[in-house]
Amino acid sequence: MSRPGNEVADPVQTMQVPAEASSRKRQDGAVAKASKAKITATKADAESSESASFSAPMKIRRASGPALSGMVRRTAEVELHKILAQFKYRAVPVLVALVPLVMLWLNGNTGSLIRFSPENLPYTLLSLAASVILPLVACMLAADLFAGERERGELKIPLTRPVSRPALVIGKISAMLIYQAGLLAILLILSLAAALLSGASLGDLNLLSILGAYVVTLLPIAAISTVAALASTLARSATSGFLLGILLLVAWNGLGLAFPAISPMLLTEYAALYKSIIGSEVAFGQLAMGAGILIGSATVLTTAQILLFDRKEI
Amino acid sequence: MTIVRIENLTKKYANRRGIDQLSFEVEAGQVLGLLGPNGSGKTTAMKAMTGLLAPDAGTLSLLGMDPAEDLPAILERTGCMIETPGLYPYLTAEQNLRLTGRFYPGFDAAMVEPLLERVGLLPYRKEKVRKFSVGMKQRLALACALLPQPELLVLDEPTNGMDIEGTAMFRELLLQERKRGCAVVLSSHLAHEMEQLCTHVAVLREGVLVDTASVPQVLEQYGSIERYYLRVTNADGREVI
Repeated sequence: MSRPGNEVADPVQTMQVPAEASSRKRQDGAVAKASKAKITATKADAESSESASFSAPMKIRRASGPALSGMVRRTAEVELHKILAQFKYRAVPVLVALVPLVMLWLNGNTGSLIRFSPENLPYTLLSLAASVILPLVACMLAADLFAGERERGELKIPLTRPVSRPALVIGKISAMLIYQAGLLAILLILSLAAALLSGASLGDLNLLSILGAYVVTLLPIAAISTVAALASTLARSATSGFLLGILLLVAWNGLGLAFPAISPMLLTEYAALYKSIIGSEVAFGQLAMGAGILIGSATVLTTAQILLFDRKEI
Repeated sequence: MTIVRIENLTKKYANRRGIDQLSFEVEAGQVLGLLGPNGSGKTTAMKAMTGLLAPDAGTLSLLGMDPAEDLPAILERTGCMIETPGLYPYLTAEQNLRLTGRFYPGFDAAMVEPLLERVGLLPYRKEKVRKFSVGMKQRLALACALLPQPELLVLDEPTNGMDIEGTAMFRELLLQERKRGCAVVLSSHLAHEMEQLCTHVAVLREGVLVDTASVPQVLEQYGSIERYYLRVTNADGREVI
């Protein structure tokens, strides 16, 4: 790809430096003159006019200006690829998959003191995932993608590419969500399998309700991810980012316990939002209230993170 | 065609280091070498150019655009290599380049292999970057910088850790980029390297632009960039009038 007007046709190059830039008095004025006057071709100029051909034909298309949605999509793709390329994040789904298998084993073991109701097994697993597993995974991912990358000097890779900082933040959070949605999907499939193998029949399981519960859980997970991401942006290292994320979530929960009057306004109150759709009737009011608080909190936290991240010097 | 226009660029850190009233211009096809000791402000200037930090004062125009307004559009046409090579160690050389390419609209994966060949890393394409030597990482970071066929290259000590072969390869690549019309701003501690790579040099000390000149003029006047540098910084002990 060639760009018109970019070829170096004239070997005579000029370079201007404002007169005040050279702050020192010099013994020899020749150098000072050189900085302002036209300069004859250098040796490298002469060499450059020799035929030097590219072995790599470049085909990158020039956009008039990258759109935010495109930048977010490309960032999310890259981040997801990076997440999945790391051993620890490939191990997490395997570990998560062990949970329903352990439950299945406990249900099948006659000597076991702990037993799970087969038809409630998908909900039991969802409760565990929404309150413990996924918040921990969110803190781990956020610590790695923000504070960890900054600590390791990797954050300057996307920052020196055609991606705006807001797009980078949203793209990273989107990748975190996609990964966690994948974990939820694995849990859904395995929990249904474990329920059936534990003795539940298809008729005992309200598949639509179970599916809805898992989908609705993405909302609290999204909000929790934005808390973890904000904590990681404030932290200096991956470890402190992870701990700060957990601390913030615990503090958020504690706030609800200490001040019950404000608890309906706190995002941590809606970690089990799925409960509003699994009863005999869907509690639409509760669902709408929870969804509103979670979406509102996630929006405010992401905006705060973007503002903070925009000012960060890397 | 002016690619870089910097006027009175100032950035001060808490320790008072940084750059102070830095001004220079770079035309298409020119290679400006920033020469100076550690802490003289070379990397700070480059970070300000690539949006990694915000300047306190001054104006910047890159490719005719203001980084404060159009940074993604500038970076779409700029190749960067700032401080340590920005690479993901858990990915292979090929994966690093592919991921870099994904940031650019219209990226064609077919570009990856020829680029790896250009920097001499094709035989190591499937190896994880964590196993690479410093020089190999520099080569790969250079390939990442060249990926968008940039009109501006900002390279911070690009030959650090490179062997003789790597340095020669880098010189050849830079020549090709210059011929294409790419403007280059690079920093180095090595005066001899500057003579071979640059068309112009700018000497920085304690964040201030001490002097700037064309390389042929410097060689004609002083015989070497090293002598020129020692002279303008008064490091040779001779009194400057």
